Amino acid sequence: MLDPGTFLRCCIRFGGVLAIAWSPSGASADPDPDPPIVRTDPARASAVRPAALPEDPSAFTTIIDPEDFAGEAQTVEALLSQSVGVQVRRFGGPGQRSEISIRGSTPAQVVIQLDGVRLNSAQSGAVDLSTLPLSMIERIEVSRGGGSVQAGSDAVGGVVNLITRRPGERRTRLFGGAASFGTWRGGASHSQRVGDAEFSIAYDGFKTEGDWEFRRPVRRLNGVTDSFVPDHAERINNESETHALLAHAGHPLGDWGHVSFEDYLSYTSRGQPGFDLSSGPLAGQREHAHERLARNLAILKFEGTDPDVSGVDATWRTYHRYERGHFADPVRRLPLDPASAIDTLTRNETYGSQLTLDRSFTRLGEHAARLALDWRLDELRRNGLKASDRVNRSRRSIGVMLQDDWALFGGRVRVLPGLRFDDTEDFRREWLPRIGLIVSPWPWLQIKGNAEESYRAPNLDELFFPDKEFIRGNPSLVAERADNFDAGFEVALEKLGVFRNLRLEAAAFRQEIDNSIVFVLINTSTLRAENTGPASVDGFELSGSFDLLGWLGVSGNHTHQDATLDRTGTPLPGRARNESSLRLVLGPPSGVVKLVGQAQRTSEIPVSDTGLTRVSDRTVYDASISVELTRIGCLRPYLPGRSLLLSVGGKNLSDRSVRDAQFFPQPGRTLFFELAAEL
Amino acid sequence: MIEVSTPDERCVAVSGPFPAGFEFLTAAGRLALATFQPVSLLAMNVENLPPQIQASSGDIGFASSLDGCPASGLIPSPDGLLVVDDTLAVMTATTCESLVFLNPQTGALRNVAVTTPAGFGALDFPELPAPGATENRVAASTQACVSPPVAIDSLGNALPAPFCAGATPSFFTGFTAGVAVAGGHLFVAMSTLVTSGATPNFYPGAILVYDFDPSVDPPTLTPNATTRAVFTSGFNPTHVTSFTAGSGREFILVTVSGSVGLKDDDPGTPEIEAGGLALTDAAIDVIDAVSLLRVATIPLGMAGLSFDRLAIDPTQRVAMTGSAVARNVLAIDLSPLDALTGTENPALVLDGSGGNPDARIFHAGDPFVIPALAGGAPAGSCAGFSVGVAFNQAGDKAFATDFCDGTLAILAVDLSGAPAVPVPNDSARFRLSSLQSVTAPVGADSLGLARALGSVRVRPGTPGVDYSGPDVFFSVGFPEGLLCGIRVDSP
Repeated sequence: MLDPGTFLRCCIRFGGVLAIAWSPSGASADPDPDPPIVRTDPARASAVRPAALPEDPSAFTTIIDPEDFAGEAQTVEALLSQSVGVQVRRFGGPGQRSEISIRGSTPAQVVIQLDGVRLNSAQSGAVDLSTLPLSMIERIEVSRGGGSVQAGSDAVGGVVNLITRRPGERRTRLFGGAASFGTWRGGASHSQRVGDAEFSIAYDGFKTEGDWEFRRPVRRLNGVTDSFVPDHAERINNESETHALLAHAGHPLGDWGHVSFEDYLSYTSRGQPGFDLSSGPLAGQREHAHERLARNLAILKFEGTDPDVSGVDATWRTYHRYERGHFADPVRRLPLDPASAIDTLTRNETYGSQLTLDRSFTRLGEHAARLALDWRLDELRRNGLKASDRVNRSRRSIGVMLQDDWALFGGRVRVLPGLRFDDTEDFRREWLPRIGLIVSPWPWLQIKGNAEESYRAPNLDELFFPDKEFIRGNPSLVAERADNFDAGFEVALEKLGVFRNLRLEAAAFRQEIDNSIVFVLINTSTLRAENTGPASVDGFELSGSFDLLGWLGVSGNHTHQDATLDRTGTPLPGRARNESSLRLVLGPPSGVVKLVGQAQRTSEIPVSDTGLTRVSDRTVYDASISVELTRIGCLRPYLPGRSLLLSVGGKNLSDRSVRDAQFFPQPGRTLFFELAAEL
Repeated sequence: MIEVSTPDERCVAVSGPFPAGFEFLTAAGRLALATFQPVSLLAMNVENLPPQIQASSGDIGFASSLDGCPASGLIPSPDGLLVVDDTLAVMTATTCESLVFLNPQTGALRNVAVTTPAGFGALDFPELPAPGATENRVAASTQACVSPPVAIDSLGNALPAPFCAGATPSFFTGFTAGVAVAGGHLFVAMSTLVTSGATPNFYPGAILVYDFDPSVDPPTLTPNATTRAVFTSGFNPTHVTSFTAGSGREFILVTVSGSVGLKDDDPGTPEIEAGGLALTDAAIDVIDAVSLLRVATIPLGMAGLSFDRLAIDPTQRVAMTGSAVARNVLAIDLSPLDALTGTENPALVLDGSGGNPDARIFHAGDPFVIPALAGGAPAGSCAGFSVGVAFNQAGDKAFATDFCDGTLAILAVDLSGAPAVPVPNDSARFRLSSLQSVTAPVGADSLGLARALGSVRVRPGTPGVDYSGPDVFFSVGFPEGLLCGIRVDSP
């Protein structure tokens, strides 16, 4: 039983959190014979760290471990935005659409995968990051630069792979939290084995009212300011909720394999306030527009190995992805025209199968060869844009990839040639070569470089958006093609003077994109998807991290990119030229408390294709403090479970007016509270 | 903060894309320009290049205090702009369906005493003060219940119930467009677009008539008690232009654009064509500003007239306008209007039929064609849109802007001597003098460049004598709104 007096004294003791938690050796934290799983690790600078993926070791890759961000009210898009080479464009606050750009790409030029299966729909190409719950993600892998040899069409900017938590030992997690503007998030997960079988199930729920005040944009026109009246407005019709369910089941197949099934189901319902581009108290926002999105992804996976006979490891996935989107705005643009209200329905389905065969052998060095086969059928079942006039569309794609990882001189030099053949229905067949090189003169240094071709077949909206005024598809489009080059080095030292876990990565890149697809104005009333000629992106990325004295972790990165349309030299809209992040994590080695401070600076963002209209630069600061209550010795007897993490913090603490896109405000200062337990 | 700049020394960036319009003040080198993001009026000094923004109204609000503005999130869109004098401008606002009154030198809203005639019903002008009442307002509603003589829409269907005037086929006017002042009245073109799209539908065109006195403070505005609206000969009246004939009579020339839709897709090509298409006849209607009768019509065929005001040459002989569906200039001879008495009813048709004079110079069947620019906008999607026309001070040049190609066509005009009626449309009188590319054409190849050329105006006064700066000004719509000036005429 909890003795109130003891508890109170303990709280008073702990009221000076620092006094206890920051005792040099964590002496106040009683030794625990059954140490809890400490979710607030000691200062770990390398939470976002460079790494190499086994299947693509020469690619410049960042691994994000969400566990390292526990207690910081993070989201998938927030973590990605802190990753070098990545920019995230948010179209509102939490729960509203957000999109990724890697090395100056468009969102449709990035493949987003969940456990190796792409989430990009053939209809629109881009993935809304806001609908992906972080609590279900164990690891995020971000590969920058062309990835079409690995992932096929669309991987012009890079590939993001979200790895969900695997079922395993018995473990139950619960979490919940609240934040400003009526925001709530909570969830639970449970994992356990029954005999040889393993199961897990997880739920994540999110809800926000989103009714924050925002500052209207002030325009500075060649030095003269022009502003809206009133200069503040409330984000209306901005409520959002997402519910997601993830279930895994797996079973070994004797000595030769493992079979698993997972199903990811999510549902999002949210208001769509749209642009704040107009005058008046509502700022032109839509009062009644609403969107509902449902997604289901089912994956059956078999992993097998035959080490004795053929030496081949095989992985076979087959999957089905279903997406349904319904958007409705009952307000008529023309009062007398019922058709000027909007009501659209889209349903996308994808059936796919992937087979990967890996075999290692020795011949003039060590080889790790891979043969991969991809088959996919995308179907756009129906689109009811004003009428059910869009005929059903489908697209079949197949791909064959062959790659080798050829290690020479004891692995000091690795050469990675690769070739992919892709056949996307209605488009020309693509042969995509690549070559990667890794030189490791010392264990702590890797020098890497890649040259690769990539492409993106136009999505079905770009091709066939209904022939109805304003926005049109263009069936004459050809695929975007890109040549991707990058080179750089990675340094990883366990210790250097007072520094620990020192990591440093630098990379320079160039992407040459041909036939870039953009919706452009073609007459007084119509935007149509067009191939707009060549564009290029040059830039460099710097990232580094270290731990100091076991108490302080420092990580930071900087990305510079010049993304331009070759014909005019004008910047590609939506990409900041410079973005820098700095993260400090302070806390004792015991992990009982963690203080986190973050800053992200984004240079001005061009928002028109001439580059003459720009959203101004900004620096945004976040901070949080987390306490692992089970590590406080006097509380431990009274607390159930293995971990109980209490966190408070704030985002955008300086209350900056933030916009990634011209007419989509983001919330100002936001405070949050979270409690997470592991039983 | 949104930074907007332009390195083009001819131009200055204004708020948002597609400026709604701009007009010169009588004060030297000053003009007012209407924008819609935010909805504001910019007071500009165009003495030198680039033009300078001197003052901004800031967001004029479009709050519910403005007549007719809905509380919903509909986007109020300024359309026409009229500078009555250097202290009063009238901006029309589609969606709000309002006239907004401002000081064009400061952009500040101005009060106007708005009265609803006592004999009106509550639904006649539902957003105006109660019948018989007067209120000071900064905006006046253009939503009026009107009953057209021919209750057929542009698709040929009878107007559907419910009606706003009992059982009489009637509708509330909407899609407020151009505005003009003549004969003590203020005239407002109401297009009343009902459905948009490839085949839009318009209700009968109406010109609202208000009694208007800008000489008092505050100015007064009252819907005309006997003629609240004059109906046009065709659909989609988009602008009104005041004109004083040689007889001294004041007229309002109405640009009846006709229904303008989009071309159907050509199934023989993989592209989706989307060029403009005239669906009903266009005309210039003539309304007597005193008798408030439509006294004449000059039919121009399926010309798809542009939505800008008419350009009238300094001798008051010729009026010109562009075409929304082709790279054409249309023109009429104004001299036949000298004979109008203001009592013609039914209206005369000035096409040479029935013994009436023919006032058509260039019409749909015989337009002045501006050549396409080599390497200009793809003809399949943007076959030409002559947005506006303006005459120079001497009257020997007319300037026409093409939205699609981004060209400024300079027409040499010779009205010397005593031309026949109508003025012969031969090359001795009208010929292309030059074609200048002033913005990029519209299309895929123009990404990253300023494009979507808009209206054109010529600064009053004699260049080189009255001023030394630029004389021809034009707006650019996309992606930034720009106001640009160039010098064409020299002393």
